[in-house]
Amino acid sequence: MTPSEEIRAAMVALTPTPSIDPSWDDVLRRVGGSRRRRRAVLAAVVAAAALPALAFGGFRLIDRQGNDLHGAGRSEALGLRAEFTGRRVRTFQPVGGAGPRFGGLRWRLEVERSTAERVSAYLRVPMRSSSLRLRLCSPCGSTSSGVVLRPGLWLGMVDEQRGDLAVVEILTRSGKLRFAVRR
Amino acid sequence: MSGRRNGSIEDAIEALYRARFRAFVRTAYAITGDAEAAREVVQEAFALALQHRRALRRQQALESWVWRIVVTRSLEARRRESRARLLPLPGPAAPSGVAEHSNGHDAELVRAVRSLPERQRLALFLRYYADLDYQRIGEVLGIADGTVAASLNAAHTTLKGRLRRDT
Repeated sequence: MTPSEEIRAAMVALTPTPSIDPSWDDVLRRVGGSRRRRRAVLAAVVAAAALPALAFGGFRLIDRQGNDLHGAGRSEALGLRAEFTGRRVRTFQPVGGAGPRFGGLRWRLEVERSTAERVSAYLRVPMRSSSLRLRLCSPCGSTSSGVVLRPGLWLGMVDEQRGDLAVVEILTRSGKLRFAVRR
Repeated sequence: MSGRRNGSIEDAIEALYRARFRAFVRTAYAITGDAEAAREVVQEAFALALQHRRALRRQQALESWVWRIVVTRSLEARRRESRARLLPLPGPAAPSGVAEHSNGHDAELVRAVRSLPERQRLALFLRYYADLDYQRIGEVLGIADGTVAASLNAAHTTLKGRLRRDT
């Protein structure tokens, strides 16, 4: 036996072939699983692309029309005048109808004041048993704006029967100005 | 591998699997040191081959392509598992069938193989466990035929020296 043959024999004897049987079916299953995963990813991408028209995850789009909301108030005593405008952004609801609605609010608040007092503004949305208090700005400038995205935000704001959908509270050291937001 | 001429690329892949499964598993096992990891690597490599079958135009390229995947994935598996061993060490815990040599002889050979540079080790595995020729080894490792020959010569020289000292 030559040295090369000796090495070959030693190598071959050293590492036996593991006693594993081939399974072509297992290979095919893996290919199928991979295809299913690719299809799932593709479906997710399509769903995300179609988000404005369809739905997102387990949520169903229930309202894509923005509703203009408006409210204004003034207080001579506080030297304040404020105007709130808002527009609902797309609203979703869990598939099946249970659970809180998820939506957003694009808002804008203009505040005129005759004093240099610091002003903070909050939006209070009535809920089933309590109310949701969202800070809009603190301190507020003469014009502030933003978008609020909160689960349950529209639970109280989509009630067609109620006139006042929310309340804006403008706080200063001297007192509070409150006014309702309506459609 | 005559399936390609008479059938589709899928047939060629399946024929390669059935004809060379044990060689693939053995080589993967030599690299990973883990039989289950070796099986996973081979199964995944052929699943990949099926997924990329349209890109595998030439039948000759098919086997080299699968070998490349097996070697690459085996190296990754070994690194991932942080397994220090490159070959299953002989002894009580070793798989059956390695006890034809004395433990001291096998251990010396294992140490000698471990001490080889990675390219030389892989060339040895592909030569003796996969039974590939120099050209195919070069395709798998991405090196020239001459480099394969040089790597194997260097590995042989090292191992011969170790074996002589041992005997």
